Amino acid sequence: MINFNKKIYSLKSIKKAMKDYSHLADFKIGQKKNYFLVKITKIKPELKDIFQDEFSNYVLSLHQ
Amino acid sequence: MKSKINQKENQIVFYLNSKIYPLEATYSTAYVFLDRVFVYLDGDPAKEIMVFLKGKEKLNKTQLENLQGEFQNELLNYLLRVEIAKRNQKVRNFIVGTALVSALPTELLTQSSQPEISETADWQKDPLGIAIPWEEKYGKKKRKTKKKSK
Repeated sequence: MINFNKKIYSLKSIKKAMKDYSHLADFKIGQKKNYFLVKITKIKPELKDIFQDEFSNYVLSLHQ
Repeated sequence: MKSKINQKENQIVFYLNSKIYPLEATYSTAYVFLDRVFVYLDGDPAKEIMVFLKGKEKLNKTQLENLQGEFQNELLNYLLRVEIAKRNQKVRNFIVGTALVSALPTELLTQSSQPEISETADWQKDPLGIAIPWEEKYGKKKRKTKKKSK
């Protein structure tokens, strides 16, 4: 589960990243107070160690 | 500046004052580092932004500290660039405008509402009627007005 601060990460970027990474894992998005909660399951085994961090980086890169 | 190093997580966390380093500057700086480290942001952009930098390769304490320093240097670099861009905006607009005008075809530049005068035209003919001496143009009228007033 990754918590993205609503004031820092836009929903548009998160959704775009989820769509772009959809072939690598399954995503579910929710929200709680100031955060968007992204639950990631069925990650490809060879990517498991770095997937969450790479996904966060990608979301951040979409802000540019 | 507050910072925490978590060597197990291969990560350094530090805090940026949003009044000094706006969120936009932090985004742009983070973008520069995305190929080297994992960047995660949290906190309140109105007060303080938390920056998490996690090495993609195993880093020791000094390397993590250096990473923070480099990030802050890049932040300052970005802020300076924004400041210079603000100061030079008028000059840049002028240069771009001039460049665009000079890139126009010469036919467009020579077209105007006024009639064209060929280079071979006789200079004595004065087709635009601008070579009339002041006395001829206004002097006689004044005399006439004086006569009328008498």
